[in-house]
Amino acid sequence: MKIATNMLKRFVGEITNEKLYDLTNRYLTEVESLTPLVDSGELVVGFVKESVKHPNSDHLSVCQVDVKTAVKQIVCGASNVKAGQYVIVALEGVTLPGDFLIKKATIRGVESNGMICSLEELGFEDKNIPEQFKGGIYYFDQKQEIGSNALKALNLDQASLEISITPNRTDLLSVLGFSYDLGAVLNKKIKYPEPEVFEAKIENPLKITILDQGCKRYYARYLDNIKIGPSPAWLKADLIASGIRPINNIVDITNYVLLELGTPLHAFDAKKFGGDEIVVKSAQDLSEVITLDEERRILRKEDITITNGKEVKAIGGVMGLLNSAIDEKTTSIILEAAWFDGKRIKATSERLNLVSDASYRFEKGVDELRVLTALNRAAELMVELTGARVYKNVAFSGEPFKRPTLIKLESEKVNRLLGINLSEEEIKAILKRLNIIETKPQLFLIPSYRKDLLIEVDLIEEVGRLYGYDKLPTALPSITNIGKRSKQQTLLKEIRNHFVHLGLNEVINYSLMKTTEVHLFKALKKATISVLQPLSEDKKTLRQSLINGLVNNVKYHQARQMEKASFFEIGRTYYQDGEVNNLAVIITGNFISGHYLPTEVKSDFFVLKGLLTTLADYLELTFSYQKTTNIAGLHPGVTATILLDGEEIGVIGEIHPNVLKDSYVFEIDLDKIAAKIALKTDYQPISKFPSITRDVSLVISNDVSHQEIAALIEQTARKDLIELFLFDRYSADKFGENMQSLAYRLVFNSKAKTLVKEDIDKIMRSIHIRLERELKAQVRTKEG
Amino acid sequence: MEEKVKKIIKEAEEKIALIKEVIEINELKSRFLGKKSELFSLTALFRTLDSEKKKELGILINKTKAKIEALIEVKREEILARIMAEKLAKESLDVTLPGVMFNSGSKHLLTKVIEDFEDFFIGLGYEIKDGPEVESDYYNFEMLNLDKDHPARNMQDTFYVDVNQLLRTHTSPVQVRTMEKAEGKPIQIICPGKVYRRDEDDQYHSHQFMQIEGLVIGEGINMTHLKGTLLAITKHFFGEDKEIRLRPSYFPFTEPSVEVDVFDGEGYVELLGAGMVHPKVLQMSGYNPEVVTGFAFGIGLERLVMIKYGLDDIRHLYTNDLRFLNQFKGVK
Repeated sequence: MKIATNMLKRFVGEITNEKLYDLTNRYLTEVESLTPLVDSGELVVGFVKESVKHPNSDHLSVCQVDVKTAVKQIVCGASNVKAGQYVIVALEGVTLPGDFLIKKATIRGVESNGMICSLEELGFEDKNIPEQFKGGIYYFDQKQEIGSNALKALNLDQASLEISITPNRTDLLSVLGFSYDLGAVLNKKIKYPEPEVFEAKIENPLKITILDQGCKRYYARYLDNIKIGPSPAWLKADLIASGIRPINNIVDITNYVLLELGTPLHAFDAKKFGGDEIVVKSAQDLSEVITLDEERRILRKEDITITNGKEVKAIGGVMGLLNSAIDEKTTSIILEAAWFDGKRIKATSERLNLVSDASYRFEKGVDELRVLTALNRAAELMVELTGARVYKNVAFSGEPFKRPTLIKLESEKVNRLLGINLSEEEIKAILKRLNIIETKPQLFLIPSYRKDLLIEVDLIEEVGRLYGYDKLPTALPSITNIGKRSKQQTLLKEIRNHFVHLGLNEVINYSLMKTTEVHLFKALKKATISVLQPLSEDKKTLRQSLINGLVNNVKYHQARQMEKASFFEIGRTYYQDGEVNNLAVIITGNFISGHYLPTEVKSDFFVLKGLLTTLADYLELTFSYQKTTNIAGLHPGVTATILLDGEEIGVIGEIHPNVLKDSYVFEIDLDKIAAKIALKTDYQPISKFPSITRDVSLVISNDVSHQEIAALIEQTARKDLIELFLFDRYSADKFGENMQSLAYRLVFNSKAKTLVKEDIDKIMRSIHIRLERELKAQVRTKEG
Repeated sequence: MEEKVKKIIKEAEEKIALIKEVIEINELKSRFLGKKSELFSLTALFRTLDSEKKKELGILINKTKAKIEALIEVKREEILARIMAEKLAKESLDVTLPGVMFNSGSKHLLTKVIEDFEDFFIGLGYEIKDGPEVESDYYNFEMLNLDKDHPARNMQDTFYVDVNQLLRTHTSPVQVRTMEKAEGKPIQIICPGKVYRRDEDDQYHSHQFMQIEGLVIGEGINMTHLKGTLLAITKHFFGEDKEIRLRPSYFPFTEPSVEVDVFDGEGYVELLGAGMVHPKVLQMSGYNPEVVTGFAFGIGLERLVMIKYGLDDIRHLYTNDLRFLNQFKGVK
């Protein structure tokens, strides 16, 4: 909401922009901006004594302008400049909006000492410039004091204070309400002068009937003799500073009162209204009307309408209809001030997608005690500015006012919550500044415009706010608890550190993704979770794999000629039965770049598997692998499920070449891993005895996996085998079709004794026999 | 005899001076000290001498032997040193050539900041709590005093999954869940995590973002504790010289409610929202607001990160461009 600072100053008195900005922020509400209406240096009123054609130009005039201190010769390009006009003059050295510095100049051979300003040059938006001044200079319609401050004469010497208002502070939606609060901060009593309406002797003929409970009170006045025309400059300036476009005196006055008091008003053309009968009733279901903005609207029976008994003339609290609109020919009006139920107005406004200044305020809540005041204030201004004749008395129908709110407040509670030490008297004094008065001991009466104050803590907040949060001391709570991460959180952090130290970059991707791709990297297609109103199709369904995001990360970099990447993400995947913490890693391009060195390591399945194994080692777990082909997004020949104690915990493989080239991923369920991690405190003594090493070479079918061979060797060797690794592997024609040669090294050691060679030889023989019998291997052995 | 020995020594000295390789040392050793050496042949004289003379000769031979051995040893070391020097000279590198290009990894900036906050709060005695991102309307709104008409519950602002379920719009439901479980006991927690709002992604908005919310509940907790904690966070994150300003604000779950600005040298920049836990919220979660009080705060992490690191676009944090990710390493 925008507040015209000159309107504000009429209530709170003089205040600098700096102070207003600071106090509003600290004590009232957030300031969005504070912008001068005309951002220029001082401009003066000049009198055009003479205006003659420029000798060297058809469209320029040479003017002699009296600015009191001197008569300045000014070359003017506007066609509407004439002798006898009072105009706005920017003298040399003055800066106009847009950093436009006025300098002495020679224009086509004629000296010019300043500028006669147009409204456009003062920074007015086109919509706010009256037709007659468009494309030309502005001139006053009345005699002015020559040399005086031109902006002040036009009420343009003010700023627009834009504030954002939290849902509770609806009382700030008017200049008066804002002034009450600022007045409380300044400790200054704000008085609103009761409007004085000069009434004629003719009785107000209007009769009001309320048939819909959505309207609690309805006041109306009848005015005639109106001359529709433009509003005076001061009124226009206040409206513009409030962000409202001036239209004509009647509309402008209703808007002005809305700004001043926060009370929406509506003016009907009395002749178009058709009768003196005003009936407020529920709309006829599915009836069609045309609102003032010239839109066709379908009403429902929940909407409140203002009618003449037969025809709808306004959608109550939202907008008038075109059929009773004020126009240039209007001479008499019905002026409405009413109080509608905010919930009803909100529903109508939302359904019609029609938010007006009126509906906005009714929705937030209008102070019911200000409704009649607003009607009279508008009538008063109409008499003054339009020559209107006001008929005697206000027509009224409605309920009595509700009882005011009373809140109990104990001063001890204030101090307990705020951590300060105010006396009962100090608290009462603060509340009194807010017009909150103690009626009985500890019982406070709330002014009708503070609809947000309902319970004790609301008053405590008011005391705190006015006391000043700046003045609050600072302390830290004394906490006796021990701060910590959970085991699970620690594990995630440790794993994150592990992969960062291995040289990977952590990414964070979006959880929402395209529905059709959720199962691209999943063997099991579990039911998905989608949002009802997605922003777009590619942010519709919650992910079940982190791989999709990582693939996009690699694509992004490949599209930018960055071929080398190794990313990981730790994040959640989402299922109908809960959320799971996953880890996924993708590598592509060189994992280690050698450049001129021979140390280059290209990313492949085994580099990735090595990375995964470092994690298993770090966590003291052992993963096993089972080849699988049933994941659409992965290479069917280069994919395995990852198992931990026989339970599936993830997948590792090459991305399907149709999806992405030369990229390798794994993804594991960290919650399953967390469940397997046990706190180990027992230390393993280091063996004092020498080890025995043996190698075994074998030729075996490609169909037998390393995992099978290793398992057989381990089973056979049992406890003294401390190390087993494949140290050579190759295929050659001489071994026969689909055959490979493998060489394993076995290291034996015992912590209890020096192993006897003969015992080891016996074990090796058993291994050979089992390899030959069970795996059909040809064994070639070398004694170590 | 003396003459003879001198001659042997002289000869040995001459020969030793000439050799260049380790292999020649063994030849010299056998020639001058071996069984066929001239020196050794002197031992044949023992038989002809009396015990006094024998002893004298023995000493002379041993002395000579030791002397030659010492000479050879000096020579050996000389040769080895020379060989080593030659080898080292040959192995000399251009040490300015680059090393092997290992990747040096990076934590995501948001993770770094979260961990930093976590460590800070752990130091103050807080526990780190998390909860589901797919939340119920009950925990996300209702238990936080956001009634059915509250604008935040609008379909336009919240990703609903069905009538009762949604993607959490803040991490406050974790606070509610913690309060419910605490059965009236004091609480000091922070809840970091992902949250979602139905905003189109642009320079300053992201439909997914990170929050850290804090909650302290107990007897005697008051607003000076909130202010002190907020000041401590600000100084920790932005620097010891920073000051804060509290502005009145409104949240349905706190009262009084404030927004917190930091003075950045030129003006105030909005940081976060906070307040004293609303008595209704305390009551709903099983606390007696007549006895205990509490404070809560909510930090939008991206906003803080953007201010601190001068980011001009929130989307940098979710694009995961390596040229961005690699800028945030080490202890910054």
